[in-house]
Amino acid sequence: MPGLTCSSHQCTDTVAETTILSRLYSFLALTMHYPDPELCNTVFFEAMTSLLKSLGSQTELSLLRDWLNQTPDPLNDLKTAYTHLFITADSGETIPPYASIYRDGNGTLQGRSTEQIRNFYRQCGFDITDTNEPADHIRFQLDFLAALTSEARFEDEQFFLQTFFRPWFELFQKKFMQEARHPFYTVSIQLIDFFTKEEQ
Amino acid sequence: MATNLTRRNFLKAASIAAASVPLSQVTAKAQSGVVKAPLVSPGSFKNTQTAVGGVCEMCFWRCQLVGKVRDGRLIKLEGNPKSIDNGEAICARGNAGVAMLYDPDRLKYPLKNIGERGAPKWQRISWEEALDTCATKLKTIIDRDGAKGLCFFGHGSHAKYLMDFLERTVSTPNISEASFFQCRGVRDTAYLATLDIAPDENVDMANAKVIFFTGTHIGENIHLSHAKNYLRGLEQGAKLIVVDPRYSASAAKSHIWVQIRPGTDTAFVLAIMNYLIQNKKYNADFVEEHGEGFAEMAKGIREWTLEKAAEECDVPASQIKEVADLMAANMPHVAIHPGRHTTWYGNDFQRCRALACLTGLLGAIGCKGGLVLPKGPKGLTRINWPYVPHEEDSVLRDVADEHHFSPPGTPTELLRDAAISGKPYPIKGAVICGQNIMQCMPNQEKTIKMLKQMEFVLCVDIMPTDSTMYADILLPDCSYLEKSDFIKTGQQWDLGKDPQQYIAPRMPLVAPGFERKDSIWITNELAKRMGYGDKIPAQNQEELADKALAGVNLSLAKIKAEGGIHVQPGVSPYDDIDDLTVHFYNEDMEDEGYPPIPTYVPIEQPPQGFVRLVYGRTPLHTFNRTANNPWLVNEAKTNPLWVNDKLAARLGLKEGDTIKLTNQDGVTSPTTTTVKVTPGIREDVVYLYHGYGTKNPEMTQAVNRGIDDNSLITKIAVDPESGAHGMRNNFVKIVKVS
Amino acid sequence: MQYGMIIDVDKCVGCHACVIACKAEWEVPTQFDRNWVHRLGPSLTSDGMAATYYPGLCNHCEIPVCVPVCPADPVNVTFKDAKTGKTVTMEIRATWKDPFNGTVQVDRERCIGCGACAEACPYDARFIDESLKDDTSLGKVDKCTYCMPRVAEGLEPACVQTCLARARIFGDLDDPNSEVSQYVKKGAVGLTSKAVQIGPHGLYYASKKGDMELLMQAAPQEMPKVSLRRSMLTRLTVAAQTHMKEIGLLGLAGGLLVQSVQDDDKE
Repeated sequence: MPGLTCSSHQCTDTVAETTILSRLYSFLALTMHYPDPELCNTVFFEAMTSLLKSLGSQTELSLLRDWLNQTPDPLNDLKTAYTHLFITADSGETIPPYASIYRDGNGTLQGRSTEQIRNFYRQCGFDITDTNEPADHIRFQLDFLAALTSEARFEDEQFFLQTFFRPWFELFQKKFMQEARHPFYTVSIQLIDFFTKEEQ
Repeated sequence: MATNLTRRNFLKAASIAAASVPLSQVTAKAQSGVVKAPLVSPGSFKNTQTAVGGVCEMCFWRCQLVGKVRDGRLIKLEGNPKSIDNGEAICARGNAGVAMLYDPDRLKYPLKNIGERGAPKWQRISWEEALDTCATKLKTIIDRDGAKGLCFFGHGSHAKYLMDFLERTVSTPNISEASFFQCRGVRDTAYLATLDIAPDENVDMANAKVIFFTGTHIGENIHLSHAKNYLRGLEQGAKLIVVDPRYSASAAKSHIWVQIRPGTDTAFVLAIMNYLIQNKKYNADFVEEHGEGFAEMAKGIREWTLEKAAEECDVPASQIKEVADLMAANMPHVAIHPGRHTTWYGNDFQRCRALACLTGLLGAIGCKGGLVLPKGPKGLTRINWPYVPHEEDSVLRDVADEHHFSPPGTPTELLRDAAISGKPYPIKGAVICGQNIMQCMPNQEKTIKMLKQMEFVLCVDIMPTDSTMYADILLPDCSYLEKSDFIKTGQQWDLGKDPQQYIAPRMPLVAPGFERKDSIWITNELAKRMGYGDKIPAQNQEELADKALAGVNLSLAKIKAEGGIHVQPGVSPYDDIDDLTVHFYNEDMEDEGYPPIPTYVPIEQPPQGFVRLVYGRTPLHTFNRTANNPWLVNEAKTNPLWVNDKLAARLGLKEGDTIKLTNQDGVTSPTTTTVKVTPGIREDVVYLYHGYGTKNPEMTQAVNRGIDDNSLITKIAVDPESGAHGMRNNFVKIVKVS
Repeated sequence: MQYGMIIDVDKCVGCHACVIACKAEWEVPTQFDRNWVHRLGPSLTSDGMAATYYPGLCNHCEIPVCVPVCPADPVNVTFKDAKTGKTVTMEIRATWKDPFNGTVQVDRERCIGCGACAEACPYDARFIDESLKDDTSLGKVDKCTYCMPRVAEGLEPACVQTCLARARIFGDLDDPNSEVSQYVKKGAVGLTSKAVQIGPHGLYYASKKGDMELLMQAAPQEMPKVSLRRSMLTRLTVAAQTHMKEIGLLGLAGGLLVQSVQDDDKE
């Protein structure tokens, strides 16, 4: 397990950078919501497109654009894809996006990792509002990161990333990349990886 | 990801137009918490609350539980110390309820199938959309074809309220419960025809001098307090006789093991009765007082000498005599176990009737050690959907004029035939709740055919079983840990002790997660949309339970305050047999054209090169119901095929070899299992645990594990009296794979 | 005081509840077992056909061969007798036999995960959870603790509590009036063999000769050979890691050392 490092680059951040980072996390969290018409619309896809452009990620950009161009009903498409990838199981093909599945040696929900992650949210002064889902769903973790960064709490952010988020996300991503997946989710997972991995 | 930037550079240079999203999902709340994880778990007794009122349903025995909960997370399940039934003990499956609760493969949201039945493509939908769709589709069928156009397959407490709604108020007679037609229904109706009571498994083994099992394999079958009952009997010196082609867990504790040829148990029992009668060793006083048609039966079974039965059953005549003498020497304190899963060969009514007659012959009813019905609490209010009589000519067994001694509901085979042929009327709507019909009804092809011709299939379940692959709409039920849909009552399991009774209503130990809903809520929502809203007997599950408990001046809250179980003094269950009649000869049966006395009906023997496929229980699983549980899977990863050691040697099979099975109809198992070589089984039989070989890849721990015995049960046998299936009439060849 | 566990196989029905209850109680990852149930038979024994069960767990042996092979740094620890208040100070490594209650315990914090103790045990009662490896270990050992934390609160061990047959009896073998001692008088014995005689305190009782025969056949027939090189290398690996991290040679050196341990495994 990597030791803690202090990300000194954050100490000279401007307010604008803080806001952008926080918004990025919120945006990434949205990609991991069950698709609904309020959020999954033209503005959203435009935002994703422009994000990829700014990063210069041509491959991912093409993936996204090709899909958008050839699908008559992106929302319906995503609903099926999300259900198949993250809700129903299919040995080899479902990758439930919860830390405990990958970390706790049991492959169950509500494992010890769930407890530890929720305790950390609380220690930092936050908690989940939707208690139907286990607290370690990826979207809660990303929303939490958004909350921390909006308050410029970068040490907490780095600690959470290295201690809680990356260890399970890397295993999750590895499983995800084993097969060809829906392009929207391939791009989303890549973006999450980019914005959460340790700087070299 | 392909990019030349690092996050750091990106943030410095960024000017993006990301959608501005308010942080609605996370709110600030002041909380304290500990983060550093200890390497050692503190144990279930540290920093946990004890939630009371659990009633297990990993199997259907329903032990009473408490849960150790930490911050809303269930850590462990234990027996409720207040229980006079299981006490603090629970079995492996009971303990594994925690893993079931948090199984990531469990159904979570309502799903719509936008693919095909059998090859589903799921899309999550809202409850609103799901319920509207179900109600519309079901109503369309009812309006056009009548209520009889709907059929229902259900099991367990999950299913009762929905089943009652459909059977009583919507008024379809096409209800086929697996627990009746593929399990214990034939036993119940056979005993009703003999003793006017349904026996369940109510033998007082704890106080018996002799315990007699045909096929019962307690130890591999675990019903907790029933196992305690059995063990107490053994502890107190009861002699155990086990009739089984296999050296089962019970045979291993037996004093006499009768390694019987499969299918001949009735002959064995008739020979015992004949011997006792001819040698005047039966309970003459009891028979005099309670028997009816004794002389006719005695005459009718004369042919069953010890020698004739020995030949038929492939056991020594001296052994049959030994068993009979042991029973005679100890009567009436002889526990003749009625069995539970009794749907073996399609001649099972007669076998169960023979057992019931033997019980009467020994006078082993109502006395210590005999068949004794426990006296549970009385007075709970009956709450149910209002009953509307079934449409004339809609009851299929009446139309067919068959199965006059059928359990409640419609024999499965009649139902499937009607649905597939469309005669005498169409059945176009199927509702399946908590029953995995693909694994419990013989001949899977026929089940698929039946489902495919439906206009609408609704499944309600907690796991994505093989059957759910055929649903149009699939709804996520709550598990027993998350709801309040059953009231368990009873007497203490050792009937010889001071009588006590208990009432244990099921209460949730944790809140349901995701969007799971209890089946009472689901049924009510459907009822409202289908125009039956004014007939609803209880608005929610708590009200249903409280209304029932009101009859005895109790409530969920009161019983919760008592630690989850209400215990009260009981009454002695013994000697309540004044009104008992033992119908050795049943006139009604004769009138309907069935044998009036218990009669042996021989079965087909395996063809050359084949052996009979017999299935049974493992203590680690409740057939396919628990097949996905990672803790249980870890203990019993496959269902090894028991093969006699001499047979194995002839076939060139060794312990651990991987094999497939092919049956007499040329059907081959799609999956494999391993061989267990043992002298403890006959050469003409092979045995494995039922419930393996899941096909649905959505059950990630269970899929393709072991062999599904039901995939090889293609030849259908139906018991004429009851309409129940017989499922041990298929024969297999063992095919070595590696 | 010497805690011991009697398994009465006359009563045991082989339901495996004990295994699952332990898993739940101590949150043991699915693939590991602090205790186990093996199904024996049906086989022909000298007394006819028999079938029974071998519920196993750490035997908290009289001569625990797992204790001396531990290479973790020694520390001085003072033990206190819960009953008499007497104390004794011992030098222990990451695993030890308690001087007062006779149980064998482990300290996961100080365990370096070399696996020597697990290798040494002829009953296979220990396991190493490699997912818990960190800066100072290759993983962490675990085993049955006779539920000492539960016993301290007046509770029964989890496996004893859940047993529907009451086939597991726990208590003090040094107390002649205890139920476990009565079983010893009746003839309960440990699963020993010619080569394995380390004084197990898990004892088995069967009134049927055939059952006892099957159980004794399930006893370990030989003492495992412990690779001391392995435990030595682990000590070096963990110490070396700390030094080498600073000078950035971790990747290279770690790779070499890990290779050596793996080579060792192959031998």
